[in-house]
Amino acid sequence: MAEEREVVLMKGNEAIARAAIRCGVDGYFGYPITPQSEVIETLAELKPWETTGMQVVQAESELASIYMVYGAAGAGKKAMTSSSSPGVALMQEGITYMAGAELPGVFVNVQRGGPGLGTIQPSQGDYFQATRGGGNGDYNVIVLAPASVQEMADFVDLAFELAFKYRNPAMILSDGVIGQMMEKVVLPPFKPRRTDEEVIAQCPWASTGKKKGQARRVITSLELKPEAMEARNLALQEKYRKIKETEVRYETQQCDDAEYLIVAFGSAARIGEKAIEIAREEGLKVGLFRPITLWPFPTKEIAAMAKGKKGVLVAEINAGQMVQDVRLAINGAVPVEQFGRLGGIVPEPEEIVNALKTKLM
Amino acid sequence: MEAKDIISPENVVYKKPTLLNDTNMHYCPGCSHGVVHKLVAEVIEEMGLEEKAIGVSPVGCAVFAYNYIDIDWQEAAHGRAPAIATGIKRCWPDRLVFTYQGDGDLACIGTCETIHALNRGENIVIIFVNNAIYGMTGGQMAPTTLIGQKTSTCPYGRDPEIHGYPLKMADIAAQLEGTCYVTRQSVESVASILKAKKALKKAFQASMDGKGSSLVEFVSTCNSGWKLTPSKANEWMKENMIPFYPKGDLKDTTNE
Amino acid sequence: MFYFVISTIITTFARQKETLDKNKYYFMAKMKGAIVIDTTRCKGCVLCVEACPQKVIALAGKVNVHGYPYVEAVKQEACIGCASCGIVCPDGCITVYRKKIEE
Repeated sequence: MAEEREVVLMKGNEAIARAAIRCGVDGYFGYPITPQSEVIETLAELKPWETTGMQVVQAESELASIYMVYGAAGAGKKAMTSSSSPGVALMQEGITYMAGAELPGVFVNVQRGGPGLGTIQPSQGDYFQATRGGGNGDYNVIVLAPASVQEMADFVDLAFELAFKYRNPAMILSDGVIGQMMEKVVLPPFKPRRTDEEVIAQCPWASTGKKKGQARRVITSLELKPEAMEARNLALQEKYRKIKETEVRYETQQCDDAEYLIVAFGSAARIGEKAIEIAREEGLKVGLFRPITLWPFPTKEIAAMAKGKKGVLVAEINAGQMVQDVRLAINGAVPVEQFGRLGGIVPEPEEIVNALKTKLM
Repeated sequence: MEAKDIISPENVVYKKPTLLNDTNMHYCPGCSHGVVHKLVAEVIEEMGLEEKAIGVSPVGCAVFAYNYIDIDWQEAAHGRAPAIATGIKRCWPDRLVFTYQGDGDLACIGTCETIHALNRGENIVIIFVNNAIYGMTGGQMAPTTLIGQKTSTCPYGRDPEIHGYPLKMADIAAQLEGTCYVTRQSVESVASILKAKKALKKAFQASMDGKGSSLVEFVSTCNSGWKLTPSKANEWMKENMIPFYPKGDLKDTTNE
Repeated sequence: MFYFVISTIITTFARQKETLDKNKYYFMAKMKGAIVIDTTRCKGCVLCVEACPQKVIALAGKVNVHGYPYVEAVKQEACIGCASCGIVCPDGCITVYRKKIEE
């Protein structure tokens, strides 16, 4: 393929679609919603069912989409969907079912302003929904927060890798800025879809058709016996503990000599990058801590980095969500303030610098 | 000749299908679910599809169907079985994929998924056990409850002014381009059971032949919910349900 | 005329003998059945009792380990092995056997 290892210019949403084809995804099931309809549009245009055999289905709703992912994932296949905030709200039932049945589905949320139908402009208002688990019960999904089109492309394979490693749903929490902006990207190399035999070998737990002499596989999140249900939940919690221990990802910029920290994810982190540049030019020693995994949250790492600093500003495009996790991590050792714009307005870097000055200095 | 001379393996003319395992089924005595489960197990066995079958169970009385029929299963959320079946069949096109749903699951919360999976012509079979009531949750009104029928949420009888009208899902399914076989059957007598089995076999074969989607409705009883004995429930069904949900093939393009 | 009467009488007798012979054949190749009921699966719904054309089955007047009244074959000798009971049983309790009886 001519585009392999070539640097191309494309939208974040398009990168998700192209990366999905390249990393051997078996099925995409989605529903149009702004600002991420380009994902299914790109797939529809590229017709991967004719090249790699990847299925692309426009479902009748986000609800149907997430359950198509459930079905395919429950049968061991690499299945994904994408949506935006109101659609992801609709998917919460399917997500908790997938967490309960321990299925490796992947879903992408290209966030927009809310609550409710909201606006089509970008926001980061679904942090709680993503990290606290918007559905019922004690569960977590692995949350990756890309801050560039390159990460949009790279995180598809990473999300599937983690999803299958832990048999847990994984999400890519993006937003309208990253989804819509165009940047240079090196697309991942082509990886063929697994054969049926490889799927059966990799996923002996999946409902792929019971062979003679085998015990039947049942994909379910239902357990009526209380002791058995508690045992299930304890096993899930143990799994989450393992993930928290091994899968934290983050990035730091100029934090070592910094006196103040800006903590931001996704597009807010891109703005934060510019903000620390402006601050440094003014002589302020500011660093940027960018969580890449929002769950598991880099709790220990932020606590360590914040030690000895004069203040931490959490910059996010919402009314104050990630700031809670930052406060929990720092545990009162250093003042923590939050800056956010709401309603879908994307802040300017100068606003972040001003907030840092007024709230922490 | 005595019974013991007749009871011998080579003389068996009927037995529980092997695919229906030894776990006692939790359904109420006389419930149609038991007979439909038997038919599903028999047909899969007779067609030699034990290693290819993947069932999707509902929320409703048949939520534990996966404990009784010895194939791979997936448990669906209420109403979502056709979407789950779509995901499975699209990714495993050579498997026998079917859903097993009740009237609340298929015709209420899942109406959208039912119509769209059928309309897309997914090569799946949707098995619809219609007993005009919500059995598992204690006998509430269903979208297929008949006018005048009493349930716990319409204790004075279903009144169209308040509750609207019963839904004829098989008629809707027969209008959809994507369906190849839509039929209504019942399982209260030997004759109807044998006909129903043929219909189920036809539907399964059509899905394996890639002819499109099928809906096999079993007009059924809920003797607990209807507060009747099993045989009185069969009578009530024949007198009231069958006239409103008439049996027979509503659509059959499997030979085209 | 006389010849006609004689031939009619002979033909009638011949037909009767044919019929008698046929009956003899029928009595010789009769189907006899027997059923075995898994009483721990039985829930006493008695749909089998109603389906049986030969009144072979009835409630046993006892309950099984699950607390359900169950049925038993009370007139096994009348069973013709039609399998109606097995077919209508919602729990797959009944195994039906049938053997052709030759004399």
